[in-house]
This record gives sequence, structure tokens and C-alpha cells, in this order.
Amino acid sequence: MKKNIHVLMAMFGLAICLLSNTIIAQSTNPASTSGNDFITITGKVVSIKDNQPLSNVSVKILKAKGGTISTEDGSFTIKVKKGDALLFSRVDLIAQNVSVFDPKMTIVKMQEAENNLSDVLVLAYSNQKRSSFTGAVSTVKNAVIESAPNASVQESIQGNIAGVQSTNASGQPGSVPNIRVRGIGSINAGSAPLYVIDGIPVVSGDISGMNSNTIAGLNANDVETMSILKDAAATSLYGSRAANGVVLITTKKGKSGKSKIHFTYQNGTNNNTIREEQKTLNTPQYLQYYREGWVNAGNPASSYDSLLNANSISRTTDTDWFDQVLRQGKYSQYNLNASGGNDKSTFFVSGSYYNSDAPTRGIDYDKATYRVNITSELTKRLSFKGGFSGSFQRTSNFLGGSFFANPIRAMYRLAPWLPVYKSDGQTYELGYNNGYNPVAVIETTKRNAKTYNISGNSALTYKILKGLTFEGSYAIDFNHAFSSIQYDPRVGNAIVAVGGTIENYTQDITNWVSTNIVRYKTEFGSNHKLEAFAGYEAQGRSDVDINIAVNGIAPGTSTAAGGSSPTLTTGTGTANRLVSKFLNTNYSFKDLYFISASIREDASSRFAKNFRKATFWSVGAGWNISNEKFYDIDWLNEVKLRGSIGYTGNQGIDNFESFGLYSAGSDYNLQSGLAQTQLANDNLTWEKNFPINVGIDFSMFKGRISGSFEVYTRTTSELLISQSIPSVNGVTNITVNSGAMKNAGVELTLSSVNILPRTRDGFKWVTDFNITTNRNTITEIDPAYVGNANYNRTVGNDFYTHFQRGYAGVNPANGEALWYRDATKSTTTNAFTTALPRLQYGSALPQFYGGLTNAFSYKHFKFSFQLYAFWGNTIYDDYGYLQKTDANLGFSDQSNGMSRYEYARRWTTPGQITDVPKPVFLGTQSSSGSFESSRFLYDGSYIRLRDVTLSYNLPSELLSKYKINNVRLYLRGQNLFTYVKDKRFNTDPEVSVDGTMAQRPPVFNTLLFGVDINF
Amino acid sequence: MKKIYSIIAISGMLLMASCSKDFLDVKPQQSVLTEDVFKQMATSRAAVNGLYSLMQSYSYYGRDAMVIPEVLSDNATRSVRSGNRYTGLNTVTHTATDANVSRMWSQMYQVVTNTNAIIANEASIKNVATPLEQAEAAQLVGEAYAIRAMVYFDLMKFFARPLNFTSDGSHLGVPLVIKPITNITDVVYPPRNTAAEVYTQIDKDITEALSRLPTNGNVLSNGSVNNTLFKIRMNRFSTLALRARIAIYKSDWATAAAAANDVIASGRYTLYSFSSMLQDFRTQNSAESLFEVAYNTNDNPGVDSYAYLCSQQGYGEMLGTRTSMNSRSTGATLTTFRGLYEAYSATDIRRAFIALGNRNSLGGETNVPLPVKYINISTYMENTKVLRFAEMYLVRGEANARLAVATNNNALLTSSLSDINLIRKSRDTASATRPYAAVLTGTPPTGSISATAYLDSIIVERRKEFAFEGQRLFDLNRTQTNFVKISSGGNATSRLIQYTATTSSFYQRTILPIPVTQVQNNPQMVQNPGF
Repeated sequence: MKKNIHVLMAMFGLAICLLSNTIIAQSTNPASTSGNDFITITGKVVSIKDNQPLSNVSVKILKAKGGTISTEDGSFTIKVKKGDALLFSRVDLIAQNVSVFDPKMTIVKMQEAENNLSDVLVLAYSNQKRSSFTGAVSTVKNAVIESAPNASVQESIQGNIAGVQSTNASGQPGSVPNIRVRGIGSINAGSAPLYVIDGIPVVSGDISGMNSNTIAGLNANDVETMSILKDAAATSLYGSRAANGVVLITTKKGKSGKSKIHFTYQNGTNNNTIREEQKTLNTPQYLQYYREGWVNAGNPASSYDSLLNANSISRTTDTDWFDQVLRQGKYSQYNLNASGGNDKSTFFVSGSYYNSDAPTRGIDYDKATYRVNITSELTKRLSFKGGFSGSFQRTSNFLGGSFFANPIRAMYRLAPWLPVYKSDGQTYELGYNNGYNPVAVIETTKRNAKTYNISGNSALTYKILKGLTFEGSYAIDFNHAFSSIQYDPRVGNAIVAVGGTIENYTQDITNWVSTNIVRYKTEFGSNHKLEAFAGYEAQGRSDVDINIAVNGIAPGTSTAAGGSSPTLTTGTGTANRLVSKFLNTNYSFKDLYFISASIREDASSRFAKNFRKATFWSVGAGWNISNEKFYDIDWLNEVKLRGSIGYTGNQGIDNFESFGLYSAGSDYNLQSGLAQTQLANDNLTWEKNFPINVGIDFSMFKGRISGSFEVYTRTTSELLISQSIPSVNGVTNITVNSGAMKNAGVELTLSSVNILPRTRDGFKWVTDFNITTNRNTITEIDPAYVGNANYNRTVGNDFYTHFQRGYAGVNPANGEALWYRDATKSTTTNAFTTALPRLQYGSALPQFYGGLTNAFSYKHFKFSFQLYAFWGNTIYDDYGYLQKTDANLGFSDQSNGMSRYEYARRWTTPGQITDVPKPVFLGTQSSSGSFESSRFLYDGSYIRLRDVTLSYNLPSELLSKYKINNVRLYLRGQNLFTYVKDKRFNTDPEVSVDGTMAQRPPVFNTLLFGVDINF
Repeated sequence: MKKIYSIIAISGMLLMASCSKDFLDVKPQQSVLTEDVFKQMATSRAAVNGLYSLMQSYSYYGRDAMVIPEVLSDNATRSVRSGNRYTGLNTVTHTATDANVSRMWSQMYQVVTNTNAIIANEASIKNVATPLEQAEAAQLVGEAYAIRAMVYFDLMKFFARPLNFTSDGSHLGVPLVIKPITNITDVVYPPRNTAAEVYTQIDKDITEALSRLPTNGNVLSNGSVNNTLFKIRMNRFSTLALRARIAIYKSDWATAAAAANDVIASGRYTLYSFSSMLQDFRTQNSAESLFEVAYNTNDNPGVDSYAYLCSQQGYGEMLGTRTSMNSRSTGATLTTFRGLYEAYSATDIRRAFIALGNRNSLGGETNVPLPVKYINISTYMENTKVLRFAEMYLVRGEANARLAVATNNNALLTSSLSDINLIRKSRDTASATRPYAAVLTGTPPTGSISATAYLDSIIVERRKEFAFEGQRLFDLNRTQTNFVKISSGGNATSRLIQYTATTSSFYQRTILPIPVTQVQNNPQMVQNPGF
């Protein structure tokens, strides 16, 4: 066994061996000896970080029996034989061998381990030590969350947590990221996790209609813990909402003692990452390309100039639409918090301001937040805990997707020979793109959304008897959104026609939850511990919104009152309610064996009366093998095996989806009208989710390496799907429970202290690594389910299996595009309509993803970088077939959006092997109307330098004069470099979870300078 | 103190108890449960309003039902500067995945199922109506019958071959769904009925409608006559007009002539005057309107409107045709092509509905016919004319002419000439001095034409009268007329469509395919040949 250790140690390099030989104190004199060569050693164990004493550290004599434990003040006394070595260990510390002792006072400095079983996990309705927990939970370190320049805490999940796929489809700061815990669990009922902040299942997602994100309203610096609950043992207490995992966030509380003030400031830039070769063609390239197209269409080259004249093509205009639409963005953040308290009460107060202007013109975001948390022991038996927070977010953007008014769409599609301004150089040229000159759109359109959140929670805890407590809590989460959209009457044919448009939208969401819990905790015998709690919870949510639009805007006005003709005035309201009872028990024997079980009954207003109630449950067990007497593996210090199984649900459908409905709004001649919109389904019920998890937690080489390994499956059945029915029935879809899916995967998380510092300021190198593979499989699907035809959703495939006509490249002889005629790809055709309708190509879901973070510190400096890999997926460019039209649209204003990379690879000479066909002016071989194929499918694999931070702590001697505890200065960069496997890509490879690239604002990089000050 | 804690504990328990059973009974706020709709007169009325509202959709009378028969025929084409709307239809290469086609099918059947529910709940509606409201209750159901007849007739024109495609109408029509569907257990997967069966149902519905609608033609609302609804809801006369139009498609000339005669004899409608036809057509509730789908400020179809598609201040993609567009950069021109613009004489007021002008887009066509029949893109308050009084003269004229030919009846020919000449005279000042004259047999004397040529001229007259109103393709189809369509305003290839010549690759494409989804999700659904 020893050999193994040495071999492995060698892998960490010589430096480690040298440094890990942790002799702290020198011993020159022989110790005072007694008769049998025994010496008595007294000493003290302290933390390397702050010299604070460490208690309960086990001090064992190596190769002999006997040992002791350090006392409250860290001191210990032990008799050893001369030449013996001592092993100092505690689960949360990196163990040390000490063989040379200071006779007077041996001081042993110990380093905290990175990831270990003594962590306290924040779980559903309770906290628990990792060592006794039987489920799968991952925690994002708050150091990672705190200083990240991300608008939302969700973005800090990316690369830091195994088993959670986190992607940002949009470069709009504060937009809704895609978070998927252990794969795709649902088709129509939503696959996003439940977010619970300080016990409130909060409103998540976009409520303003402008891709705003309510969760982004949370100040990252307020977050104490963020845990992601993944398996049944962890999630089943959230019952009908737990199927897609739970993100549990708690905010900071004050600590008794001296008050602390913390200030942070960050300032930087947001920059585009689009390379030159990813841009579309400039005018000389464009005209050359079309000249080839003109000749390829059978026309004489000599008539090309007259063609240009006939189409009024300017040879001298060369607009770089990327330059026109993009810019350098700004970023800044301010945060101030104070905390403190005494024995009875604590407080935490914070305020922050965050601003991020995307490097796409017109996309701006800022937010301000405020929070107070207090705790108080009212009497010996009664204590109070409460919090109040407010946030304000403001988002500006423009229309996205296929709208003419989307500047990103225009950027990729408009011809370079189109001018921005008329010949006077000032007036917008509006004679193309349906009047939506993107520069004019950016400069005249005002679209902004304000999102407000106010939430408060309060809880009373009463100790009834020893071990028995009652907790009553009530929380309210109020969200308000207001969006204001002003379309200038001068820009865009549709807007000009109506004299300008103003739209206002407002939505209020009131979400409340009332929870009552009785907890019981007891020990019996000397080895049995039992903890249990039972609760009753009621939750309600009601939404109301108002939407108005007016045309004919009076000059200078910016509200709906300025319009002369209202075109839309509507408002809706909806609500849902949930009543639940739950019970959780945890039993442990000797810190060796653990059993947990929970059960919850939910009743939801969303489902048909017969199927309102359902019961969810989980059972888990754990075995701390390394605590067994027989356990004798030196290098593997801790091993814990655990497993769980259970049943959770998903109720994520519309509030009234089980009822037959006639909807209002089908008005005629200004009189109210009703039309049938939904058929009743008397049997509609929850989606059922069965997760199974087996995990192992370990710590080896004296705690230098720790981690966990998980294997899981989760099976979702009775999927809530929108089933397509013949529309002769008056509706095109009905919602039914049908179909099943399975996700199975493996997760590995490792933390390693590669180089352990000898002193507080010594060189330290820590590595964190995680990797996840998840395989999604459809195991049963209703043939009448019609999803997106771009995916082949059949049994055995995963949910995002791309399905397109097979593009077979270019015929080297004549430059024509070819498509496959058969599934074996053995024959090709140059006529699109005779190609095999669709072939299966890869999946939008990755083969694996993971993060690797390395952190180095030396003296006052700290350097860290994180690499993030997302590998083995495919991405489909939804708009590729409209952009890359091989000149077949003639000189239409948006006829050709090919990149310079593709231009360089176009077919020009017989025999040339390439995948970019020749252009044919007004050709019919490929036309923009319906020629979607695998030509626009890309390998989505990428590796990204997600984060780099270099920081410097000012020497404390310098600061003590000013009563400042600590000042940290740092430089940080996000997304600084990305390796993209598929060079054809012309945008960022980070796209939404469904693997579509769809004219969204590009994801960008951020470079910033920051300062943290602690008083 | 202890008391306080017990109170807290007890109040916590009470909180649990307070959540009684109806805590979970949450009611929808902008919808009505299906089972409650026909339990009140107010909601029953609203359900009828819903029918018309569904017809407003741009996938039905709001745009596509007007555009498709034009753009698929020789009346209209699409600009080279376009946002790719109607791409397949314009080049007659439309497929079963065409989104416009699919939306139209669904929209039409949504109207059908909503009429089914009203018809099936007749007893319930009559039961909740007060004695004063009984006539109105009957009328509501009558409207549902009339609308169902109209929608099935439209479905047949778009998705099935004309009734005369087979001698007994045994070819495929569309599925007949006439029972209400409210629960997922009611969902049907029906086969297509034969064309004859569908037309039988249509006739039955017309008869049922006429037996319920007020005989004086008025429309009742809230128990009394409401004249503002006269032209925008189905009434006795618009239902008779519909019967007249349907009869033409059935070659049931006697019924056509009789029904058209009833409408003309009602005396409640007049033709537009020559001088004010342009303004009159665009006015809501105009003199000629028998039935129009109304649009108010709140309906605001915006960029999806027909006017927006045509207007050069909007998308402006739909163009009228003229003979000079028939040039192509490669290949031979098609001399048999007849542009819409050339169909009119210079003195025809109706030519003003096509303004020669330039496409408002860099590099767009110049001097091409721009449709200006529907022009309002500021408030979009232009009602879609579905049935117009002029059609009654053209229907009666055509029916009598065909009867005259069949029975060699000169009196009927004279009567027909009087109807057709009336329309010609009121539209074209030059026609007043040059009325049609026709003879049934023999060589026509000077100033006269043969009966066959006269019949053809009636179809041309219909082309002129109803340009851009969604009738052209169906007139060509029912009369089995060859025509040439061009697929762009001049610089792309033109295409020849020969309806009767089975050799033409476009032969089967003068109707629409059954949407692919409807074939996929219904095992009994049979696709139209050629798609």
C-alpha cells in the first residue's frame, strides 16, 4: 500500500514531496527522556490560515498503538517513543505526519481540506452534515459566486458543478440561462429546476416578455450557499415540483461578534469575440461572388456590369454591418454589506448596483438590490428569523429572431453594398430590409423592461421540549414587471404605416408560502440517532397582466397616452394553488450506517379533480466504510457509500390545462366573443419521475485528494405532452400523459491540493475538476406527439437528435450541391426534392461536459483559471438556409449571408473538393425557401477559458493603520479564449440547450478590474 | 408566556385547517368552462361572435383565402423583392408542408367545430332565451348553419377537385365533422367524404339556416333588430347569395338563378355607382355588401393584413399581372398569357384598383400593376367583402346563359344579357354604347358573339369584377380553363399551367394539398394526388 502512495505522490511531482514533508518546528536538542526512551510531547494544533486553535484533532502514533485528541484550545500532550512519528488528522483538515518535535512547544499548522464530509449541506427544509446524508447534492462555493461578473448566480453553475448543464443562449446580460439538472426530464412540462431562496419556492424565468430573469435580481454577493439537489433523497421533499432538480439558495446572515463591513467594486469592458473570418462578405468579395454566380448561370461575364447597374448595386459602398451593430460594452458593479450581532441577535444588510452593457448596441442591463436579514433569540425557547429584500432590474434590447427589426439578423444578412445613410450622410436609408435599417432601429427604437422583486420571509421557532421544536414560517415573493416599447414612426415600413407604435406591458405575480414544521431529534442507546420532521405547507400564486398598444404617436411623447389609435388593450389573470404534507426521517447508527426516508403528499389546483393528489417519496441509505473497525486502507482515508431511490413529480403545465375552455378575446364588431380553445382531459395528472442514485464520497492521501463519484438513472413516465390531433377537431393539440424518457449518467468531482503550503504565505496549488456524461433516451413516445421536425424523436433516440436532409457536399466536377438519396448515404442527387426527406445527425446534447479550475497562491498573490469543455454535440443554424443562398435570390437586399471563411472555400474549379457549392445567379438548385439540410449543422464542441483571475492582497501592516482588515485588488477575465472544433461556425458556440443558433445577440467576453475591501 | 406559545402553535394548526377543500378550486379568469357556455344568452351570443372572429384570421378571410386563389392563378404574382411569403404557391411548387396551407385548414375547421357546438346546443340556447329572445336564439343557430355551409364550401374549393371532376361527385372531398367535440374522448380521426356527400351537407345546412334566420333579412341582437349588423353577420339574403354561388359550382343553374333572383328582388342592395366605386368599395358596410367580415380598431391585423401585403408602404410583395411581365431571361415567352391589367379597357373604373407603379424597394420592379383594392394600413379598418351584390347579376346572368344554351331558350339568353350588360355598363362608360349581343346557334351576325364566346366572356367579366377578391382560381377550376401563370414580375421564369392537360407538371396543383400533419396524424386521411 505504501508503494502505491509513493507512486501516486510522484505523480504530483517532486515539489509536493518536498513541501509535504511538513516539518514545522526544528528539533535540535534531544527531548527530555524518561527511562524507556519515551518522551512526552506537548504542543498545539492551529490553522494555517489564521493561527486559530483547532480542537478535536486526532493525534495518533504511527506504527504503534495510542493517541489522543486536541482540546478546545488546540493543545495536546502525548507520550511517544523516540523516533516515532505522529499523524495529525481531522476529517476537514489535510492530515500531516510529524516526526520531529520541539521539546518545549510543538506547533502543528494544519490546512483545511477542500471538499469534505464535514461540510454542512443546505437541504430541503433542513441542514445536514455531508457525512450523514444519503443523497446527491452539489454546492457551488460562494467564493466562486461572489466576485463573478455574471448578472445571475445561475451562470456560476457552469463548469463548477457536475450533473448540471448550464448554457447561455444569448449575449443579453441578465437573460434566462438554460439550467438542466441531470438531463432533459420533460417534453412540455418544463425542464428547468425549481428555485428556492431562503425557503421560498420563487418565481423564476422571464416575466417581462423581454428575456429578463427574475433570479438575476438576486445579488450574488448576498449568497451564502447555493446547493443543487439532484437525486430522490435530496429532492423528494419538493414533491410535485422536484422532478427537474432543485436549486436551493440561502442568503448570508450576520455572525455575533465584531461588526464587519465589506465593499467591492468592479469595472471593466464587455467585448465581442467574433473573428474577422466569421463576418459576412465585403463589397469586393460580394461582387466577385455574384460575378461567378452570373457566369455560372450561363451568362456572359461582359454583361455583369450592366446587371449591377440594372439592379442599382453600388460598387463603392462597403458597409461593415458588424461594425455598425457591435461596439465595446461596459461593465461595473458596486456592492456594500455590513454584518454583525451579539449573543442574542444578528444582522446582515447589503446593497448593490450592477451594470452591464453588451457589446451589441442597444442591449443594456443594470440592477440594484437591497437585503436585510436578522435573527433573534426572543426567549430561551423562542427565536425569530426574518429577511426582507428588494431588487430592481432594467433591461434594454431589441426584437430578436426572424423580425426585420432584429439588428443581429440584419447584421448577418444585409448586403455590404447597402448604405447606412442616404447621400447626405445623415438621413437613414430605409429602402431595404422592409425599412428596418438596423442602425436606425438601434438608434430610434426604445425597448426596455423593468423587473421588480420584493420578498420577505419570517419564521418563528419554538422549542417545545428537549429535542422537539415547532417552526412556523410565512414568506411572500412579489414580482412586478413593466415593459415599455417605443417604435419610432420614421423607421420600418410597418411602423411608418401606422405612425409609430407604443406598447406597454405590465405583470404582477404574487407568490406566497406558509409552512409549519415540527422537528424531533433524539438519541437512544449510545449509538442511535434519530431526526425527523413533519410539515404542512400551503402555497399560492396569482398572476395578473395588462397589455396595451397604440399607434399614431404624437411627436415627443413616450407613453401610451401619446397614441391616437389603440390597437390592443387586454389583461389577463391566472392562479394556482398547492397544498402539501410531508415527513422526513433520518436514522444513524454509530456514524456508520445511515437511513433516510421522506414522503410528501401534494394536491394541486392544476389537475383534473380526480387526479389532484399524489404522494411522493424517497428512501436512502449510507455506509461510512472508513469508520468501520476492520477498515485498513492507509491511503484512502475516508470512503462513504450511499444510495437512494424515490419518486418525484412535475406539475409544470398551464394552470387550467385539464379543463375544456372557451376563451375570451374572439371579439367581433366590438362585441365580446368566445371560441373554443381547449378540450377537457378529465384524467390529466402529474408527470412521474423515478430517480435512482448510487454515490461514493472519498478522501485520500491524507485528505489531499477528495471527491465523489455518482452513477444515476432517472426515468420519467406519463410525460405531459401536447399531442397533435387532426385539426378537424377544432384544436390542433391536446395535453395528455403519454410517453417516457430516461436519463442515465456518471458524475465525477475531484478536489486536489497539489502543493500544500508550508506557511500561510507559502505556495499553494489547488485543482478542482468535474466531469459529467448524461445519456438521454426516449423510451416511449406517442406517435401523435409532434414536436419540432428538426429532431428525430423516436424510441431509442435522445430528445434533441438532429434530423435534417442529408447534405452530401459539392460535386467536384461541376460545383453543384448534393444531397443523399438514401439512408445509407450511398447515392446522391443534385435535386433537393428527390433527396431522402430526413436523416439523423448527432444530438444537441453533449457527450460530456466539465470544468477544470486551477488556483495558485503565493504570498499576497493568487491566480486562478477555469477551463470549461462542452463536447460532442451538434448545433443547427435555424437561419443558415436563409443566409447561405448561393446567389439564388439575385440581388435581393438580404440574399447572401455567407461568411468569409466559407467564401474562401467555395467551389470555383472542376475537381475541387469542398463543401461550399458554387453560386448560381437566380439558381434553382438551392433556394432560400425550403432548403434546410445538414449543411447548416455544426459540431458544437468547444473548450473555453471561462475565467481567469489574478489578485493581490495588500499587506496587512499597511492597512492596520486605517483599521482596514483586508484589501484585495484583482484583474479578471471571462470567456477570454474559446477553441471551437468546427471552423465553419460564425457565432459563439454557446447556444441554448436545444442546439439552435438563431440570430441571438452573441455571447461575449468580459475583462475587469476589481477591488474588495473588508473593514 | 407559555400561553402565547401555545397560541402560536395552535394558530399554526388552524392555518392548516383553514385550507379547506375549495382552496384548490381555482377558476379561469379569461375563459369560460365549455359546459357553461350555452347556459346563458350572453355567452351564446359571444360564441356566435366568436365564429366571425375566427373568420377574421389572416389564415382565412383576413388574407390567405383572398390571396391564394389570386397568386396561384393568372391574376397575381410575387415581387422579386420579398420576404418569401407564398413562395411555393407563387411558383406552383407548393408542398404539403406549406405553412399558409396548414394554418388555413386548421382555421377553417376551427370555425366548423365552433358552429357544431352552437348547432348541437340549440335546445339549450332556446331554453335560456326569454320569450322575446326566441327569434334571436333561432337566428344564432341559423347563422351557425350558414357559416358551416360557407366554410365547407371554401374547404371544398381549396382542398378538393371541383364537383364536376367526376360525373357523380364520387371523388374525395373533405372530412365532414358535424358533431361537437369538447372532451379528448370526443376526438375523431375521420376519412374524407366524397365531394357529393359534402355538397349534400352544404345544401342541407343552407336549408336549415334559411328556416331559422328572420325572413325579412334583418339581424337581431339583444332581442331587437340591429341594422349595424345587417351586412356583417349572415342573414337570409347573404345566405341566399351563398346558395346562389354554391349552385354555380354545382352546375345547378336553376337554383343559382332563383337564389340570385331572391336577393336582387329583396330591394335592399344597390350597385356601386360608376363615379364612386373606388371609395364605396373601401367603405365599411357599402351598398353592394351582402356579407363582409368586419374589422374594428381592436382587431388590428397589422402586418398580417391583406392590405399590408399589397401596400408599397407595407410588405408590398403581391403584384397584379400585365402582359409585359411575360418576358424571361432565358427560354421562350408564353404567348397565351393574359395579364390582368390588359383584361380591362382604359375606361373601366375597375382598372383603378390596379395602380401602375414601382415596387418600393431598392432593385424592385418598375411600372408594374400594384393591387390597391385593400389599402388601409393605418387602422386596418377595411371589411373583407365575402359576398357582393354585383355577383348576383353575374351569377344569374351566367346561370341563365348556361340554361339558355342547354335548352336553346332565347328568352333566357336575353335575360342573361341584360344582367351581364348591367354590370358592364355600370363599370365601364364605353360599354354603355357597346352592349354584348349573343346568339345561341349559327354564325353570329355583326355585333354579336356566339353563345360559347359569350359564356367565356362572363368568366372574364367575373375576373374583372372580383380581381383580388379570391375567386379567380376557382372560376378557372370549375370551368376547366387552361391558363398561364407567371411566377415573378418579369426577370425569372414564367410557368405554364394547363389545368386539363395531364401532361403538365402543374396539372394537379391548382388545388391545395392536405397539410402533411393532417395526413400524418390521421391514418384515414388520403393526400391529394401529386403532393
